[in-house]
Amino acid sequence: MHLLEVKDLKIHFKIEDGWVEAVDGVSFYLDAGETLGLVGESGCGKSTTAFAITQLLPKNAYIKGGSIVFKGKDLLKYLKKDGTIRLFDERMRKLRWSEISIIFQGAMDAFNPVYRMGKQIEEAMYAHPEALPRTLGPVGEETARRPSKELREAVRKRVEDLFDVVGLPKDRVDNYPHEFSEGMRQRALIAMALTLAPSLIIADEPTTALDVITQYKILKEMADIQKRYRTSMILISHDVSAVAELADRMAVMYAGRLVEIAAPLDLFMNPCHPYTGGLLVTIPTIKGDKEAMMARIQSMPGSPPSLVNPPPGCRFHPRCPIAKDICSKAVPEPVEVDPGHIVWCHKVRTESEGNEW
Amino acid sequence: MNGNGPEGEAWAADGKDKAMVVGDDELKGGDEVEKEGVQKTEGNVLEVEDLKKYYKLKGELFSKPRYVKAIAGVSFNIKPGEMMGMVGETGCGKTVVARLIVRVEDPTGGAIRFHGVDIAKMKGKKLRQFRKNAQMIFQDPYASLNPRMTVLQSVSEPLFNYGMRKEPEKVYTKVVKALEDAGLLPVKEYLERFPHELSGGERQRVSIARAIILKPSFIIADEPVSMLDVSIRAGIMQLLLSLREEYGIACLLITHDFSVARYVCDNITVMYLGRFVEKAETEELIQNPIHPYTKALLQAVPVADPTREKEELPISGDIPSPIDTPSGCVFRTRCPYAIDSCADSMPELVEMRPGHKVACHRVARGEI
Repeated sequence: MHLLEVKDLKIHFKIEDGWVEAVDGVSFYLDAGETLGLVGESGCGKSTTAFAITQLLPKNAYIKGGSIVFKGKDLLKYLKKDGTIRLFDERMRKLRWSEISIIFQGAMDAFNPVYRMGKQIEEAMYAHPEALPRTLGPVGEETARRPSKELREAVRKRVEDLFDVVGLPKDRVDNYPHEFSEGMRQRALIAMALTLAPSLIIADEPTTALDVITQYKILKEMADIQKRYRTSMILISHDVSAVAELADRMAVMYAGRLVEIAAPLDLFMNPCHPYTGGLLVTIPTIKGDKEAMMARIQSMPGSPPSLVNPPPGCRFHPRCPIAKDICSKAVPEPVEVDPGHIVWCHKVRTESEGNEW
Repeated sequence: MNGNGPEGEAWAADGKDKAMVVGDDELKGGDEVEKEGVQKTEGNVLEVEDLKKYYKLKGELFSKPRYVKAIAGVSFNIKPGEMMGMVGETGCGKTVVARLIVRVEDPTGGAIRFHGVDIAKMKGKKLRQFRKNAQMIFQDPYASLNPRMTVLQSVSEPLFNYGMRKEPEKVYTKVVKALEDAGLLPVKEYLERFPHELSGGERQRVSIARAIILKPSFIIADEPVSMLDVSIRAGIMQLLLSLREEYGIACLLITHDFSVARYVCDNITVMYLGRFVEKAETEELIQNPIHPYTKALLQAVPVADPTREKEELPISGDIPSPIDTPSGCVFRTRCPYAIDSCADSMPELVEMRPGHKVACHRVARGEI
């Protein structure tokens, strides 16, 4: 059984002009200890997909179908009848942070500026007494309303240990968020995500706002931690190169749908979907021959479609250089070209059946 | 279309036949724009010499004043048609250099010569003329366009500011040409659109059209692609290169991304805490970095190569505060090769290989 299995997920947002079909039929799975990179351009639905797992979506989000099975339970059973989210559902609340935690993009906005760092992280622990025995041992079994001195000390020690894990000095636990640099805040956020030893961490653009050197260090830190605790991770980013360095498998999204899933090496060496191929040739690099790079780089014509009235059939067909009639008529079915390498493209499907495109 | 200002009304009334609303005309007729910029001298478009910018901090009464040394003496030249890249981390002073060159801020010391004329202390009309020749493209295309102006109004605004109020037809043809050059085709579809109807890439193209419409000889592009989606970036970078081909515009490209700089630039300088640490031709710098900071920066760039092993970065810590910068070499607090004598004096840029300059004591002495 997979740790997480998302099947045919559909999330639509209600707006004045109608419905935004933000996520439309996304299916993937995640095993224990695995890192899945979710890449795509802004507005392609990668964050919406990930936040649907924790059910942290705005009021106007309607989950129109599909299933999200986490550790054998379908989380979408907890929704209201019309598909909107029950934000204060106790079953979801227990799951958030103790089982699934999130590393948010803006580390400054993720912390309350008027509380000390350590206090905020401790707060997350006190909010989930059911998860404390797992991380603190026997002390954590206490259920009194006022935590005893032992418990408070154990919680405090856990926070200090985590600061150590993410490479922050222990004596900064009592600092306020503004006293940290952007990179340190991001580290503290990682520490916070680890507090209750969750089995899944969702990292939403964890390094986008950071400098390259800090980004490198944070990504390395995340890779080390992930290996050490065998936590599963969904890493969301628009930076294909950064994700490739961390992920076991990469899922490429375009306009609310998945277009290709593959191991990073397969994806780079043998991109099958025309969007993936087009995306990879737009990325400049500092490695290799400059002439070759200059010759390789081509811009992709057009821009992603509006999701209010998305193009019928394959959503990439208006920009696709090899599109044919069928592409604007039918939604492509997935094809497994190699083990674990899945592509949603009519051309690839036709060719895999031995026919000519 | 009410309340759009004089230009807006004029355009709303189909700019071609109706008379243009003439604003208070402090500048003379339209041929001002026609004249090809400042008399182009041989040699460099821009010469920057020992440029400094200090910001004074609020201190206690009678206490010794403290300064943020944002730029602590940088010098460089840009030739006509040259693309120079300036790379560095957040807070290293890249953007301050740009702001000083276009004189949004006044430098504390040093000279900025534009076509041989010092603009560091220029004022009034002369400064206005200079600004026509040096334009800027900003990072955030969502914030740099007026949301209440159509593309046509936005792009024609610089022409109105430089005295072409009386010639709407000429302005119209120029706007169409600039938008064509910026790759917004077919132009007619874009003219009457507002920024919110455009994608990020299209907005950035409008900003570029706006920057090139006055035929400047020099453009500063401050992180022009960092806010854009990956699939659109390549198009904007190619546009910058084609502008150089067509008009010979020199460009200072400010970026934190080495791969973008490599694609666009001829030369790259690496900045750290308000100083240049290394400067060379693009390929030379990327293939053979010498300064420990440049090496670390290059190593940290994510490359689309999953087979790469993640090694430990040789440098530690964050950029120190620019308020009380370390004495001597500013990089010594993070440098793996630092020795005591690095604290004694500030290293100068020394040519280590032809055209490849490095500011490091130990490199200069041949120790590393």
